[in-house]
Amino acid sequence: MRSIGLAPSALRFGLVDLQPFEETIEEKFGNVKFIVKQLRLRPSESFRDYSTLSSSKDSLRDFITDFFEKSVQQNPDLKKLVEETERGGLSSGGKFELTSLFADFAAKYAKGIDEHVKLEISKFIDSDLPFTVFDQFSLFDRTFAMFLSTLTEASASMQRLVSLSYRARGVPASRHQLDEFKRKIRSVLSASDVTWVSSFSLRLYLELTHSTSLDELFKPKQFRLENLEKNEFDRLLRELTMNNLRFRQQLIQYGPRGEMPEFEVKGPVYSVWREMNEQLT
Amino acid sequence: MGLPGCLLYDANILFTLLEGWLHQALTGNIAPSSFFVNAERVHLEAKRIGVPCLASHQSYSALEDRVKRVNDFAADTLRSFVQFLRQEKTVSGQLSPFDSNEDIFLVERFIVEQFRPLGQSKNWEKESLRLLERLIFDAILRATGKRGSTTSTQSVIDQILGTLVDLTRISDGRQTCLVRLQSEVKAPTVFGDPQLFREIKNNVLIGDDEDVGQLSVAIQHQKTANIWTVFVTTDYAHVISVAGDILSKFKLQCSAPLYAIAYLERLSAKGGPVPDPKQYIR
Repeated sequence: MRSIGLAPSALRFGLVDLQPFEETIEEKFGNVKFIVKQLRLRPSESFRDYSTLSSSKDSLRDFITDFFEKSVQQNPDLKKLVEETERGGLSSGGKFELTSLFADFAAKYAKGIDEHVKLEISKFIDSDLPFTVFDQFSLFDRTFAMFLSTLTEASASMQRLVSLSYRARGVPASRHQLDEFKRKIRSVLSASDVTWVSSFSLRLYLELTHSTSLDELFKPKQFRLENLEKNEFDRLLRELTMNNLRFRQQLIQYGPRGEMPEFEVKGPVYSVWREMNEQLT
Repeated sequence: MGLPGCLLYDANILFTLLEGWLHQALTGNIAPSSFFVNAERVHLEAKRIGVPCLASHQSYSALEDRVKRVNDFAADTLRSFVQFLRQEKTVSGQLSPFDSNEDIFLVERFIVEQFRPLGQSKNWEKESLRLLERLIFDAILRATGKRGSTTSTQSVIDQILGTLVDLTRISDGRQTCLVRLQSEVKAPTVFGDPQLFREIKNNVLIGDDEDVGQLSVAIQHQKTANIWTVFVTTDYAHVISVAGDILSKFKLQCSAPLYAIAYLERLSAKGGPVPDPKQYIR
């Protein structure tokens, strides 16, 4: 779950940087050769370059890059998603495969989210930090689950439209469809990126203030308020809160779609929470 | 074209709408509160006839402070209970089993300890503790299956963790409702003027600074935008009871939700689409 950090970059690269290319493919059926023209969508630059460019240049860069690379290697689904993105999301037959990979990834992400949130809540129990911090981390994760599902559905729909436009009016028409898709999705992707940066910044700040060496980063530890610089901590938390809300706003404006993760709340917890709220009025 | 005016909601109306929508989203039922029914009625009617609905930044901020206070208090209490339980049940570095016959009294001891520093006041905290005590009790029953049986202490802790995860689910539902609220009830760019704030406090004798702050934004907005602004509130005790004074001294109409549109219609009938409030109020 921690390797989800790379997902926004992979998705941004996989969608926003797509370009339509017409390719001539030679196919053989028995002894007969067929020349087939086919539309492909592929990124305009390599994902590796993109991820390198977006890395910060501070002393932590190597450690964090290494950390994420290892995390990706340990997560088979994300590893496959990143590899496919690097290849332009195409199978050997030229079929665009990122959509089905997104779908698998989105479904598994939504399924595992409660366990992930529970792990975060364990950190809250062992710390003396305010609940808001972990609540905001959870809000990011849950919004991200909705975002993945939306992206899967939107990407599949884009594939269909681009393909129809290509068959009807060639590459220029498919380019128009693709540009329209990219224009609409860009603000949601940007909001996702910015919020991920906010979320990771706060996590990293907590890690850095509770570690004496790089080796201790992202290892289990107990967070203590006394180790934090109040203004900086408040600023990072405020930014995450604001960006989480913007991320959800952008997503709702775009129109959440696909299979939305269900977050059922058990009766007694909600009724107690509601009563506590009402008694404050 | 809608009425030439707007409604400006107080923090309680915002809270009522938000919690009502959340209740509907989480339970599938309409919130069983007359406050919500009335607030939603005026809100839907305003939308239907194209009257803008507004709320001050202070009201939105009060909304967030309120939920933060509830979440923090609930989560802090549950965290303290887990830490207390771990301390009581750790023997030689291991958690011993939880015997519901005997260990259920740990909850009682814990709650008594939490009550102790609260003293005579802090009624909200006391009532909240009683509610949370029930949640802890329920969590233990879920872990043990039935009264009188023994289970691992870790499974009790897991149930408490599950309760905290439920709080994050509520936050998630609330976030979606908050986005809807912010899109339907915008915050005007005006802020309360300190001089006006003092004038309201001295002339109308409203004690609560939060109420005074919201009123000053409504008055400022009416003046700046030059459109009739009806301040919608459910606070009969401090605001509606002095609505006449506020209208005569500050030319601002305050109203309970059910009458807000009617007041706006009455004010608008006196003037054109963009009336000068000073001109039409006697």
